Amino acid sequence: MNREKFIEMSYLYILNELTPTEKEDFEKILESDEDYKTEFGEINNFYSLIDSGRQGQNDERLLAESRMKLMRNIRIEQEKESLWGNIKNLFYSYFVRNYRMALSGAVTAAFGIFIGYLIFAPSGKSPSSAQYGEISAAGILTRNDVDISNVRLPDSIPANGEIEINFEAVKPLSIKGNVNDPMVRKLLALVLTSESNPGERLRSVSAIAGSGSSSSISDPKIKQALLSALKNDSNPAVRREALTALSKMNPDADTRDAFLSVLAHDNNAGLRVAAINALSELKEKGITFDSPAKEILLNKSETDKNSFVRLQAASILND
Amino acid sequence: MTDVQLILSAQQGDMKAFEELVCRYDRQVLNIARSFKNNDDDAKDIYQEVFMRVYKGLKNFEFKSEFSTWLFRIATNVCITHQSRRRGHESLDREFDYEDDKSTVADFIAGESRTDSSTIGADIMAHINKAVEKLPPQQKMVFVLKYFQEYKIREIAQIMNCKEGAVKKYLFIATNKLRDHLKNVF
Repeated sequence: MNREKFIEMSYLYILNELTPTEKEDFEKILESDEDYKTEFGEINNFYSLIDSGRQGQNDERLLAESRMKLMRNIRIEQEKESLWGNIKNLFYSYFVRNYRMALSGAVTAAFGIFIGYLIFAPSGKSPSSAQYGEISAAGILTRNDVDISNVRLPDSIPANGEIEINFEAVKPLSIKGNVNDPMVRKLLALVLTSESNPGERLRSVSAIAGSGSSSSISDPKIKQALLSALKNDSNPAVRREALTALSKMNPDADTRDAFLSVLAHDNNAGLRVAAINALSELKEKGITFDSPAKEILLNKSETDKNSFVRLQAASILND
Repeated sequence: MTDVQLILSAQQGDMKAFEELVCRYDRQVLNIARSFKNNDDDAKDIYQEVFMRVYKGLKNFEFKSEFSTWLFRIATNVCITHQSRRRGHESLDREFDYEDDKSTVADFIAGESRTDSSTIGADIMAHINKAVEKLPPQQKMVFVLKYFQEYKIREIAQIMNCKEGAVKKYLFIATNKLRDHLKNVF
């Protein structure tokens, strides 16, 4: 065996990638040659060093943040898909199925544009886009409640003194209303799923949970936001409030599965305790547990680090 | 539920099934990305790209391989292309690094101000990561999957869609380069 082959075999030996026969042969070579033995010692030291460079496990915050962002991205993707689907359906229904209607509509529109052109076409030079821009910008600049940012000026000012300034104008808005108002609900759900500040998310979920009205929580968008927060939010307090809010709504399989997911995956013992209590209440309300659910409960009754969770899981199974 | 049941449900548009699939494997994907990039922000970007590709491609998944193999293959491809995209911007820095960086782990250990063992451990890790970072993407991926994620060579070959012999070759070359780079430690 040449030196290069020996080195390759040493790597595979240490990595436990040799067959029993290859292993035996390699050990014989190692015992019979002092130089190889020394080289093998050096390779072993190298592996010890590499071992110290092993990455730790993912931190849960990073994982939870990534999951939450993914679900948000997927929702955006679904909205895009449904928008595109609607456009296609519209196109199909108007231009393929009802082509006569579409044709007559197109002709009418073309005729209307032509008449409009005859009536309103300017006789002289049309105003430039810059002029329109100046008018709208001037309107914005006279207001005190608009923030101006990202102002971009040209690199050099031309001799005629005409310059174009680009900027973004942001106007703060506020909505006042009852937690049960559809617009307020929609905004709370949006805050819960897209706000990066955990404090705002917590206030949003607390507002939903504290509304005391089951109608606000039974809103599908709110429910979806709560389910997503419960499973994916990086902040345990937000997850806890989401669980409380979901416990108040009419029990169904979605909430049961979300509680089971917390029980199975959440590292926070307090949340697992809250989840197992919520599951126990669901059972009292008549929600059944199918075999995958029972499997999770059985697993938790045997392996969960928290003794209360173990006991409660066993008790749900035994009742 | 098995992976197959979850995939079939997800293919019908069941988001809960898709989420369950994600939860089963996303730790490993994030681990691979973190080991490969050694940077949380990059790992998070890779995570998003991998699972968005999975979400879009799942409808066409035909069970020709295990779901996990398909998923990790996407993950390794995204890691490698992510690396390639950044290489263009980093090429000058890298050249500078190679020429300028003559320090070794032994230098770190010998440093007077670095007597604390945890600091030395962190320095060794930093040095190893720096050396791994300099490997070509394919060699680096094989090295990361084998040493940091402890996959078997057979599994790496499946994930990277190549022969076991090729994986062994990459591993051999990568290990030799790292040994060479870190030899002053011994």
